[in-house]
Amino acid sequence: MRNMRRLCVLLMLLCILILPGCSGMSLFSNYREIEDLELIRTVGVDSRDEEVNVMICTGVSAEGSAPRMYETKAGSFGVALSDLQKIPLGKEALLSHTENLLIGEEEARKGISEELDYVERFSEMRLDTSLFIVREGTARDLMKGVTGKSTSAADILMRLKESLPELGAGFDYTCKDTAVSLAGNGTALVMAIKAEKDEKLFEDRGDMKIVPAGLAVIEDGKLVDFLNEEETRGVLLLTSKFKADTIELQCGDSSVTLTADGAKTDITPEVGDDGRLKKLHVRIKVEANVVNVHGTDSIEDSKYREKLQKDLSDVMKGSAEAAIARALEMDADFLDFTGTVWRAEPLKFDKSAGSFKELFENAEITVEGESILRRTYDLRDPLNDTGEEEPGIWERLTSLLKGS
Amino acid sequence: MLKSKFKKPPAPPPPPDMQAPVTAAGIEAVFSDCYDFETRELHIGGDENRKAALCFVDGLVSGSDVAEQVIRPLTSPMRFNSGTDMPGVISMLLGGSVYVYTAKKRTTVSDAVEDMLNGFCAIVFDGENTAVTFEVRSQERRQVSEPKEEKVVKGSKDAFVETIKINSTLVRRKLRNPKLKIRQYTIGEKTDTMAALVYLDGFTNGEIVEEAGRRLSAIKTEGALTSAVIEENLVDNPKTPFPQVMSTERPDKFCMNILEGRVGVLVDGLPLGYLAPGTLSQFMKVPEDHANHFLVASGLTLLRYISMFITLLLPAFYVAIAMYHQEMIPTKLMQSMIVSKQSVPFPTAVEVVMMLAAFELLQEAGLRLPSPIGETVSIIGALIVGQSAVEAKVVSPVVVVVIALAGIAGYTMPNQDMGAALRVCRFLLVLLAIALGMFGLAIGFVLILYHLSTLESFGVPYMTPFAGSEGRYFGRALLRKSMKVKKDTEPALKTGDE
Repeated sequence: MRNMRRLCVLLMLLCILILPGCSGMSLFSNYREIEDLELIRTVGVDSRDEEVNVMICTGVSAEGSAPRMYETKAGSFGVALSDLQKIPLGKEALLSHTENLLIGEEEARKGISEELDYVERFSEMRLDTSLFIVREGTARDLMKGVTGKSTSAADILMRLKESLPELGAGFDYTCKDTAVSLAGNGTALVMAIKAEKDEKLFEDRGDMKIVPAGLAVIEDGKLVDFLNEEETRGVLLLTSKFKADTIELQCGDSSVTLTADGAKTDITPEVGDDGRLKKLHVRIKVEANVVNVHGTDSIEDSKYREKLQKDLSDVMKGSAEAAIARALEMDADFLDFTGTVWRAEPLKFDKSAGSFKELFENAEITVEGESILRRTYDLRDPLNDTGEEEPGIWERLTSLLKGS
Repeated sequence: MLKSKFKKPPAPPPPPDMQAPVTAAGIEAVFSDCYDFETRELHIGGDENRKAALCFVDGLVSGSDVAEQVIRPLTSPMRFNSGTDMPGVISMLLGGSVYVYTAKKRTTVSDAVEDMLNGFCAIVFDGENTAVTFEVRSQERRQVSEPKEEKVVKGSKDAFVETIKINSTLVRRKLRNPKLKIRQYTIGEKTDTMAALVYLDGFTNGEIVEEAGRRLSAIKTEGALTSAVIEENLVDNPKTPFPQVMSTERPDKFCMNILEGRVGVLVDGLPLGYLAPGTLSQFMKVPEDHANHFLVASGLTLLRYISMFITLLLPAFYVAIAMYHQEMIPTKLMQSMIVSKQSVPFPTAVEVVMMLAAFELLQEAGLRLPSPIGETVSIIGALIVGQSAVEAKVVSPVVVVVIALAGIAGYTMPNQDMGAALRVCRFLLVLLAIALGMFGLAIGFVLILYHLSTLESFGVPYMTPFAGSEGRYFGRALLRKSMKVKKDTEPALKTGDE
């Protein structure tokens, strides 16, 4: 009976808690009403007069009101964001929905460690926030340029991230990817983007557009250089991140457009008894479909198709070789070759024997490219008469399982 | 100080001696001031010198049966000629000289009165201090009809009624087995309600049978007129809101549970059968599971378990994420929620508690009113009030959706008692989530789990087979096997088949 009375009293007290309008009644200090929050979706960081300029941007609201942007300048990224969280408009900035962190080139060259550190440590930020370096410009200008009445930087970047695998122009690296890679081998890759003047077709859009601008190489927390288009494709192939790409080839008298649809890369190292790498064989196999043939050559001709396959193999091989050469030149293991070789030969390979360049420069690195044309989409040859027998579902499944 | 306007009643007359030898006067004394008590003098074989008294309670017996099957043969000189003395008459009555199939010899007032209250008429022989009682029950009782609360599409259409004899017949017709035992008990000091314990001898666990019998015998109550008297006296832990005894109005469900190894209880006056021990998984089953294809039945059972979690956790989860853990909400949904909540003047906590209370109010109003009005109230409540509240910006649409979803999920519970228990817990979880967010929700959920894990019904863990069976029969609760391979027996009940 006494216990029952205690329980009733406790329940009544709990009920009283909700009566004063809730604010201040919570036992938990993290209490916030949802309508008092401003959802921040993009954060941009730039250098400005020896200080850090931080701009935050919301998305287009569900009722269609234009995105809002706020900016401030402070001695550090953390202080600037703290200032911005007390938004002067009466709402509290909620950073946990931040999807993109943009860093201007100048600030990136000074270092991105402070920003990554903040993302890692501040509980509200998400580690899977996409990280971008704004090439030849500032994050502020890019955000302002692309934001219109019905578009925000977050919306445009979301579209870009969705289309990146199809474009073969880069990869959506997150803050976590970058931080892990930097902590692992001191080098990381970050997607680079650029703002370009856009023909303003709609009044409610911004007057700039965002285009991919290769990959940025970060070493010891600082931007050191950018990779060009070919090197970027090579990186994607060598790190098994290649999904698709549209490639235009001049083959014979015709210009042929192909879509490379997935690639398989095998890296086979040979490590000597002294723990040093002797050989590294890279084999890239690409599948492609013909999109367009412009010229006098006939796609029905099997010899022409063979030539096309060889040319495509050469392109892929060239991209991989360019990426490897660039990595060795920069002495930056952004391809994670050290890790790959060590995982293949953990007992033999001595990865601490020297720098990346020292470990790999004297090794014989060979790249082999292979490409298969799957479909020509030729109305006269709709079922792919390439002369090669199409593997059945069972063969595909078993090869997939073996590969995994 | 207010005083009662009634005067102190006069001292009551001394109670009649119930153990005295039976006489017509003794029975009349017991039924004094009872307008439905009838007595008349009969002349055995038409002989004025051989008198007996016919006593019965009008309404409990069939008048025509008394006249045709008792009075007519008893007063016939052909049957009871003048040469037969009173002990001979009594012997002939018990030997079948009247056309009633049940005849009992009674020597005390108490026994005779008890029979009369159970639909017997009594022929009292004052000089012999003996009465012979005949079962001539009135047939004025509700006929077996379709179940009102537990309807099924594919299944038998009969339901228990208020008469225990009919109910036991319904059970006996489905379980034609000589091992089906129906033990009789009397409950209620003032009502002398008949109750029956139903089990399969040699199959149902003997300890459960004895414990159920002991609990039925131990019921100390003035009257056994309501379900709660039976349920609260049968359960191990009457304080918990979770049901531990299942009640059903369906004889097929009752029999299915007897076949699983449970004991059943039937009570005169209540159109329900009670089943024990009760386990959580039992409350999630419906008779239609055995009528549908096993894949459909398994899918629906899983759906009910999911619904249980939705009805229990969804409002508290919403409160927790809307007040504390906004980072868990997908961005697009969060944007919609912000817009919908923008003009609502109340904090999330008040909104949710208010809607939960409104939901309970509507439900209670719908239940208490006659069904056509009840349905109207539900429509007005759900559609008009809900929509108007949203349009008037009193509550946000998301809250309406959350509470409605939780409410609808609650209606999938096959057992109303389980649904009610979940509603109580849902409210407590919401209060905890308001105070502590997801931590409060987690604490509350763990406490509920702990409480359920400590519950036992007749020595069987309430969470069987999720706890206590080392996970061996886990699938049995969630899925139904094909009837070709399925065994009816519930392993946790340790039946004679084990």
